[in-house]
Amino acid sequence: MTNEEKYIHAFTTTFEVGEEEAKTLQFQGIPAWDSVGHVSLIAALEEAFDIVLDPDDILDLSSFEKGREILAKYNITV
Amino acid sequence: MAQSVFRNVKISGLSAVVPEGSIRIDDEIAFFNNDVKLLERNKKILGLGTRHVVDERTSASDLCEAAANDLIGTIGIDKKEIDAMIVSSGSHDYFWPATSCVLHGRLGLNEECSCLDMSGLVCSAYLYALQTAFAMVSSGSAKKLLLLACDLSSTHSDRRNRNSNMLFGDAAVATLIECTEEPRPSYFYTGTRGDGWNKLIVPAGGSSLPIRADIAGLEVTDERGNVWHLYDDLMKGLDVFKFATEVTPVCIQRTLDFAQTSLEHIDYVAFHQANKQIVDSIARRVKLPKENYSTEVFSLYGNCGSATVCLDLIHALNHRDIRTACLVAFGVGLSYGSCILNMQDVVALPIRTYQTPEGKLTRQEKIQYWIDYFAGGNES
Repeated sequence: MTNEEKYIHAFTTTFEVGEEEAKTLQFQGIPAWDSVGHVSLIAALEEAFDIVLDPDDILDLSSFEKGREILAKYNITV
Repeated sequence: MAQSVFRNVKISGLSAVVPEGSIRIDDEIAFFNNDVKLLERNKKILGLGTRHVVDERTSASDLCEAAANDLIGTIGIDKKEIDAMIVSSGSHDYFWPATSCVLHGRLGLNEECSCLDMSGLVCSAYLYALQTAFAMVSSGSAKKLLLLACDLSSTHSDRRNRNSNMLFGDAAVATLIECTEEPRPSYFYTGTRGDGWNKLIVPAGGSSLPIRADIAGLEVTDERGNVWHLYDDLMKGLDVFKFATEVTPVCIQRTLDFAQTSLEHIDYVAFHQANKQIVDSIARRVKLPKENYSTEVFSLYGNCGSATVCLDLIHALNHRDIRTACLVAFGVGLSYGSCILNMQDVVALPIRTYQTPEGKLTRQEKIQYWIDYFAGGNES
């Protein structure tokens, strides 16, 4: 899988949504992206990219788009 | 006392009890809007399973007394030899006296036994109480010290609050700490981030906001349908997650550095069982192999506050060979701590179920008891 595919996959599997919906998601924008869903997404991203996110980045990851910016800090382009 | 080492103090034995009543998360689908997917997701991510909960007749002192008697009876020491007792609990029986004083009478300890409670740290309380116990024994102020830790965490939230109640269970643990001539170094590291004091809190019931009629019946329903009161255990979950994943790996590493060792030399790491996700996240950050820690205790008993980290240790000692253990706790305060202990020859009793004896007072009977007790005025 490409990084883009891995990134989308983390959202679609965590929140059980389609690709197009995943790209529009924001924290607490759907019932599945609550605080429990959020920590599950963090785990999925850390596993997919073999990284450990900084605690500040965990809280900053407020949308699909914001996640791209955060991963760039770890030299991961999606 | 951020870091301390004690060279001639040991843990002799450990015991634990949980109340007989239990709740299975599978039976709580009504609290998840009857949404099977939501329930299954929370089970998988958080590790939700079963939690043991007290009935209204059972208090912290009851569980502590049972755990203490189990341990004293098994190790076979004379109760009169216990010259200090610490009770670590956020669920004290009374505003005062200290639960340790109540237990001193019930256990029949020596009048020269010093008793004190440590309260208000809950999640990390056992670590702090253990450090204090080791310091007391190391200083010579006690030769045999009984440390009891208990929280009735299930009673501090409304069952309709899915942010907290489903996480919490009740338990008590007993630890006997003694001086020893054998060199047996134990290393502790503790810390506090008091600027996060309001992230995990029971807002009402203390002197800041005493419980009066204006809040006694005040029920809040948040936008997600969770129901809570100001006298409940409330938390900012993601802030606590950030705190835990930020400080705990550093805490563990500093303890290891202080002890001049590394995780490869630790047989088991007992974590405060906040929930599976937090524990796994911390373990991932310190690169701890899955076989060297567990979240099973959370699934079996829930997060039991101050008793949890020791409950995890006892469970592990009953299932595997552990010579050196690292204990890690974090939470209310916000506070955290870690220690490295020699566990060789430590007696660890199996976790057992406490059955409420016949004759224990119901809530209504307790109310009437206290009215009657003081109705006659000040005369004894």
